[in-house]
Amino acid sequence: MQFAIQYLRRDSVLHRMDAMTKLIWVFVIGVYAFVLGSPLLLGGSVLLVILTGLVLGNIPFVFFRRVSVYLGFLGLAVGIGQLAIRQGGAVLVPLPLLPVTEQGLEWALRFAFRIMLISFASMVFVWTTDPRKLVLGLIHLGVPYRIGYGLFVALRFMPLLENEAEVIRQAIAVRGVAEVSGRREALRRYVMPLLVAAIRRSEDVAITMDSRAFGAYSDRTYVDAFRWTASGIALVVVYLAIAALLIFVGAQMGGLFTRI
Amino acid sequence: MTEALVRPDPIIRFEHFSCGYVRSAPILRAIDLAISPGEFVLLVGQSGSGTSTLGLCLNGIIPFVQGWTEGSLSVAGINVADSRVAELATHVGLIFQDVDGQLTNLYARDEVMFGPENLRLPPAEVERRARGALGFVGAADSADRFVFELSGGQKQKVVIAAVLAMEPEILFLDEPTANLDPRSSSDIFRFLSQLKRQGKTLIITEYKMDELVSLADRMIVLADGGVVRDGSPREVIGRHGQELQDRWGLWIPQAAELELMLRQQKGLHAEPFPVHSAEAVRLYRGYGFDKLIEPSSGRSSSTEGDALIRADDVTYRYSDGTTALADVSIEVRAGEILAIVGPNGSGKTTLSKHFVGLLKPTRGNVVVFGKDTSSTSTRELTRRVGYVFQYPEHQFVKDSVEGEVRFSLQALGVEESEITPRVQEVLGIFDLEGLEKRHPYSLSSGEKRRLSVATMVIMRPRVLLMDEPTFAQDRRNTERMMEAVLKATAADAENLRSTIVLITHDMKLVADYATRVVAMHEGRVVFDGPLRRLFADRDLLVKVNLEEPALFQIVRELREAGSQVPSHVASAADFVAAVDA
Repeated sequence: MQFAIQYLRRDSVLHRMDAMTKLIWVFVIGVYAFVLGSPLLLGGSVLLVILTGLVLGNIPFVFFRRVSVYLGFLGLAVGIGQLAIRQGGAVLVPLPLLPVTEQGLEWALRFAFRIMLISFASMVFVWTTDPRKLVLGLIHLGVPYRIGYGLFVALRFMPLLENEAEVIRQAIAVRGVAEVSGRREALRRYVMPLLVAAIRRSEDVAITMDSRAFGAYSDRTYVDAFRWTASGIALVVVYLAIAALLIFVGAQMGGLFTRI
Repeated sequence: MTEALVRPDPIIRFEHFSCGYVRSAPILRAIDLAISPGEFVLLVGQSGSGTSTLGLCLNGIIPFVQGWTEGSLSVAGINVADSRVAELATHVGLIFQDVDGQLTNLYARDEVMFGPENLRLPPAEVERRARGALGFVGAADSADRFVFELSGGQKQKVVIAAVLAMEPEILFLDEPTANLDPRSSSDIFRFLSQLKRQGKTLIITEYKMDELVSLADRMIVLADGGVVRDGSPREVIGRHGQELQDRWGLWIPQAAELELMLRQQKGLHAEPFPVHSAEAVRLYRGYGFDKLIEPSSGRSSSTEGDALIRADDVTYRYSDGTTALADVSIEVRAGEILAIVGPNGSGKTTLSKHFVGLLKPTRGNVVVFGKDTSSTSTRELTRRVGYVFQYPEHQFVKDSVEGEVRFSLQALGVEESEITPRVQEVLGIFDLEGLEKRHPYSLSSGEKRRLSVATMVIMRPRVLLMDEPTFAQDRRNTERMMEAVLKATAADAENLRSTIVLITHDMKLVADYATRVVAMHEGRVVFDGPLRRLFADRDLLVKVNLEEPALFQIVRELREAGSQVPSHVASAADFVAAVDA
């Protein structure tokens, strides 16, 4: 339930931070995740992001573990792929079909850690960022408010549609039909009622927003206006410094910009 | 001085006004109507009569967003045709029944500030209005909650606050309580009477007449695209009550229904014509009652059949850990009409979904016709148990009415030669003949409801579950549907009547049909027994957000006033039969 909104309401440094500097923070991490090549440095960065989430974001460790399960499968798949493609160097574990070679392992770890680094940073952002702060931030940076609020409405109605889809599945199940087999039949049965429900909803929404004078003027008042936060700027500065250090160390180790 | 001289200029004036969604099918035709500032108007009409459409015209949604208009309409001194929705929005607030479509922000507080912010009011003013509006509806403590976490009643309160924050002089409310439990509905009606005292002009469409007749100054009946009756509720109901019921298929207050029956059957005339319960109590106090009269309805809770469905200590938790049901034990017995009642979110629907295996208990077990649902498929269970969902559209899978009904039997594997006569019979019972080739989505709301019930009934289930079957249905549709259900599920040579389980907020439906009532509260069963005992327990009623139907209130208050009305009276017919003329 409520898959669309993963925001965790609690109090922390990251929660109080403005959404835009946090977005820049994710971007900085995204950049150095691809610049760095050393599995050691990437692995260390993953730990640093988790630590940031735990300490500054007040996020319970269990959330990281939950995401790790999904990431684990993804990482494993990518890792096995890399093991297979990047054969070379000494054989570490002589498995019959897929011998684990030195180079293979290095690439597997490199990719797994990159995926983890970007995913964890994004999740820390999602968990600690109130969607409304994100929208207000985007509008502040020049996104037209009509579009910004479109995102809001989407977030608001995703849980409703998820719910509705489940109700429709159940409503059709009690008509005595076997589980739907073909894709086309599933489309026929579920898409039509869901579409009708979504259209009815969106009509109501449009009427409601019009009735509240939405879009009447080229701008509107924001009681909770966007403000840059010092803590956010500090976070970005610290991570830029870390990124510079890691890239310097990485360059010394000779493992930057590894080709894919 | 005559009334016409003191009456202020109308705040709303329709002149030769027509409108509709498609050109060829006008909904309102050349109506003339004037509404004065501060009036409280009860606008009634069968579904499809144009009550909702009229509301959409008031703030210019029609014609600026959809549809067309002709003739003139002025609102608060503004000619609607020359205005725009945003300007009209500061004069007219619209509130509909579907609360979810009217909450477009994530937080309750943002929802209420949304309108004033769009009007570019200064932040301090926006906050002042939001605080005031949320305080007015008693939802100040919901301000920082996600709107989707709120209960149905809280949601509707936030919607009303959001509209009030725009500070309109006119409010149009379209069945604002259709989804709400009786107590939440009463809260909404209480706000309306406060708003009336503040001088707002209020127009409301509702089927719940008993509460509203004492609030409204004026009652307008729409039919055939025009205003057919207009006057004070007492005038309209007193003079045309019978016609409202028979010709227009509308509900009238319980007190008025009793009075009409007393006039017809007993020749008794109470004056002035009673329209609400307190008046009926005052007028009927002096009547004699025959205590020996037997209840006319053959309903009795004593004849209990075997338990067909049995839930033992059922606990159900959603994946996010919320407990929806806690140690629920309940039996559904052969031949009974069981009503499951309780506030929004009390677990009624969650429980009934266990009866067809749509949900499986987290702890405890549910046995349906001897089979444990945890190891039986829903498909298997639906051979015995039918389930009618709240929204008919959710269950439609075919392109025609006939195909829809036929599909149910095909799914059961019934022989083709047997299908056609059964389809014909059921379409006849549910009054759907002549609509065989129509697309289910193109039907009226009453027809859709009957079709969705027909698709279940044709499978001859031994238990028929119905979730809010009277939701958004007028009197005619409700009666037609229930008559058809009773006919189609009646006892035959081999079987007792099919068991019917009603999951509902509609206390009138419960009072009219149920033989047993189960009340739920916060996932627990807090009452299981006959209707009368439930309505006698005032503390329990408050706890589970219920209110006794008007008839029970009249009977109770008459007895409290020393009248000899028999306590077993449970229907208008019983009441009238008991009166000693």
